[in-house]
Amino acid sequence: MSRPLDENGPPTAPAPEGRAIRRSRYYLSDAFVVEHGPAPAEGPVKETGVILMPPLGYEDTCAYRPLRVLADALARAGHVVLRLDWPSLGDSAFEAVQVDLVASGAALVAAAAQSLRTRGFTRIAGIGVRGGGLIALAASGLDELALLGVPASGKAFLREERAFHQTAAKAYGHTPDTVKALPEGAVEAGGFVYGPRTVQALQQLSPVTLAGAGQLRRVLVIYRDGLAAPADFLAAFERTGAEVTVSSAPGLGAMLENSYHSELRPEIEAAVGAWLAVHAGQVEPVAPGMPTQLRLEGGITERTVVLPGAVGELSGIFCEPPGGALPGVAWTFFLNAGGIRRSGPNRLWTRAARTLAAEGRPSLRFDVRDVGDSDGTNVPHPDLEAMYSESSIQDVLQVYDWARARGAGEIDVVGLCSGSFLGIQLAARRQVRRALLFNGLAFVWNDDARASGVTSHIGASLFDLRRWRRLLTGRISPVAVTRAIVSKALLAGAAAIARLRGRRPEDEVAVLMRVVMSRGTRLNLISSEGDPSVSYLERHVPPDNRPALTVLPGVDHTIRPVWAHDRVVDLIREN
Amino acid sequence: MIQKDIRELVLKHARLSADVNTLSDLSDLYAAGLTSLTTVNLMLALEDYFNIEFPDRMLVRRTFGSIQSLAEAVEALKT
Repeated sequence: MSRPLDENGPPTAPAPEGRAIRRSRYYLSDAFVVEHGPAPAEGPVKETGVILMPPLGYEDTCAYRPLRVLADALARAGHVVLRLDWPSLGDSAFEAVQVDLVASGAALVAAAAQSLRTRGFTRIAGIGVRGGGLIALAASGLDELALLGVPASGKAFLREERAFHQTAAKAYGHTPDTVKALPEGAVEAGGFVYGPRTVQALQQLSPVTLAGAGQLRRVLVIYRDGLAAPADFLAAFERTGAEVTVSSAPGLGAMLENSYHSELRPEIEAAVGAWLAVHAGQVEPVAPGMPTQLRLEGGITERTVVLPGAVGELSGIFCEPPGGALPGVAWTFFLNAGGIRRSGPNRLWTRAARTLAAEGRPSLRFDVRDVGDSDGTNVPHPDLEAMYSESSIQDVLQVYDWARARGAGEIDVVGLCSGSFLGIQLAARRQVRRALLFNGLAFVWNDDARASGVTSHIGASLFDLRRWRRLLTGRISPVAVTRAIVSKALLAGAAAIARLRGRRPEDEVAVLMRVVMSRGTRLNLISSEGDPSVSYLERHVPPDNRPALTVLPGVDHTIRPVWAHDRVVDLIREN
Repeated sequence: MIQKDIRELVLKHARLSADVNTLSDLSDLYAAGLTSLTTVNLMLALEDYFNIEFPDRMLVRRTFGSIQSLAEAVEALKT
C-alpha cells in the first residue's frame, strides 16, 4: 500500500438522546468486533461490560442492523458493548465447514469477557440471541446473561433450520447433477452451512443442562413471541441460585425473520436496558488496545476502514493480498445487496474477497448509509425503494474517490440486486474497469421502475423465515412458494410486454448500458434462472446492445444454495 | 392413545387461546389460536416426543389443523 488505511473516522457518532457515543472496530481471537461505548468526553461508564452475541446463519443476516441499534442504545445509556461476529460468519476468520462454531464461539466469548475484566469492568453481562444464546450458555466468563429467543435445544434449532431449508429449496429450481455434496454430517440452511463439528456440538447443547453449570448470577429470558419459556428451563437456572427475570416483550420475529425489514422493537430495547440498569456503579476502563488488522491464512490481511460519510460513519473492510496491495493495482468493490451487510448474501462477499486476495487482488467491501455497520436510519425501510437512492450512490462515489486517493488503480465492482444498481451507477459516473452484476432488477430508478413493481418482485423472490412459518399455517400456498420465482418472472415479462407498446426502441436503461460500455467498462450480467432480472434486461435493452448475460440454473435471487457459492466466486475471479 | 399424548403436547407447546380440554379431536386448532410460530414449536415438540420427523410434504396447514390430523400424521410416520 502506498498510504496507510487505518483511518478511524469521526470520534463520535450522532446520538439521538443520552450520552454521545463512539464505536471502534477491531479483532479479538480472529473475530471481528465492534465496540460501542460512551464517547471519552462523557466520563466514567457503567461497571457492567456487555457482550452482544448475535444469532447464527440467516437470522444473523436479518438481526445485524437491529443489534447494532441495540448496542448503540446501550452505549447511550452508559455501557460499553462488544458486538461480535461469530467465527466463520460476517467479517471474522474461518470457513463454516471447518470450524466447531460452538467451541470457537464459546472461546471467543470467554476471551471477550476476559478482555473487559482486564480493562476494569467489574461485571460482565452477555446478550445472546437464538443460536447465539446457546453458545453463550456454553461459554465461561459471563456473570449475567440475557437470552433472547434461545432454542429449546441445539437439536431443535438444527431441525428448524433444516425444515426451513427443505421448503425454501423448492424455489431454487433444478440442482445440477454435478453438484459437490457437503461434507457428511453438515447441515445447509438458508444459504449457510453448519459444518459437521458444529452440528455434532449443537446436538449436545441443552439449555436446561447448561443452566445447571451455575456460573450465572442473573438471567433475563425473553422467549419467542407469544410463547412462554419452558418451566424446566427457568427452574434449572433458579436451582443454581440465579436471579431469573422473564419478559414477554414482543418483537423477536421482527428482528430475525427478514433481511430487509428487520427492526429492533422498543419493547426489546426497554426490557434489556432495564435489566442491565440495576447496577449503578461506574468505572473508568482503559482503552481496548486491540489490533485493527486480521491476519488470515496465506498472508492475507484484512483491516477495518471507517470514513466520515455524509450522515456519519461509512464502515468497511479492506482485504489485502500477501505482501499488501501494491500502488496502482486494481481494487474490487463489493456492494451491499439490499439491506444485507457488506459480508454479502450468504457471506459470499467475504469469501470472494479472500479468494481474490489469495490471487493478489485487493478488495474493499463496505456498507452504504442505512445498511449494516454504517450510520444512517435506525428504523426499517418502509419500502425497498430506499435501496435505490441517490444518497447511496453518493456514498459509493465517496468510497471510490477515497480508494483512488489511497493508491487504488482501476476499480472493479461486484453487486447483487440493488448492489447491481449501485455498481452500474458508479460505472456511469466514474471509471470502472469491470462490473459483475447479479440479479439486477433496476439499473435506473425512475417512474417506470417504480411502476413495474420491482420492490414487490424482490420481496416475493425472497423466501424468508416469516414466510416459511406462514406456509405452515396455510397463509401462503406451497404451490405459490414452489413457483414463486418463475411466476414472478412471467408476471414481469407480461407487464413488460404491455408497457412496451408505444415505447421508444431504446430506453433509459439501454442508454445507460451503452454509455457505461462506451466508457470502457466490461459489463457482465448474471441472473438466476427465472429471476425477473432476465425479463428486465430483455424488456429494456435490445439484443444487439445487450451485455453478456450468464444464467445460473438452480438458484434463487440471493443465491442461497451452497453448491452455487463456488460458482459465484469463480465468476468473480474470472471476470 | 396417541390423541391423548398429542393433546398434552398441544396444551404445553401450542399456547392456544382456547382451553384444549374443551376442543374435540376434530376442532380447528388455528381457529383456537395456533399461530405460525406456535406451529413450529408444536412441530418440534411432536418430533421430539414421538421420535419422528415430518417430511416436507407434511409441513402444511392440514397436518397441524386438528388433533385428529396430527394423530394421523404421527401414526403414518411411526409405521
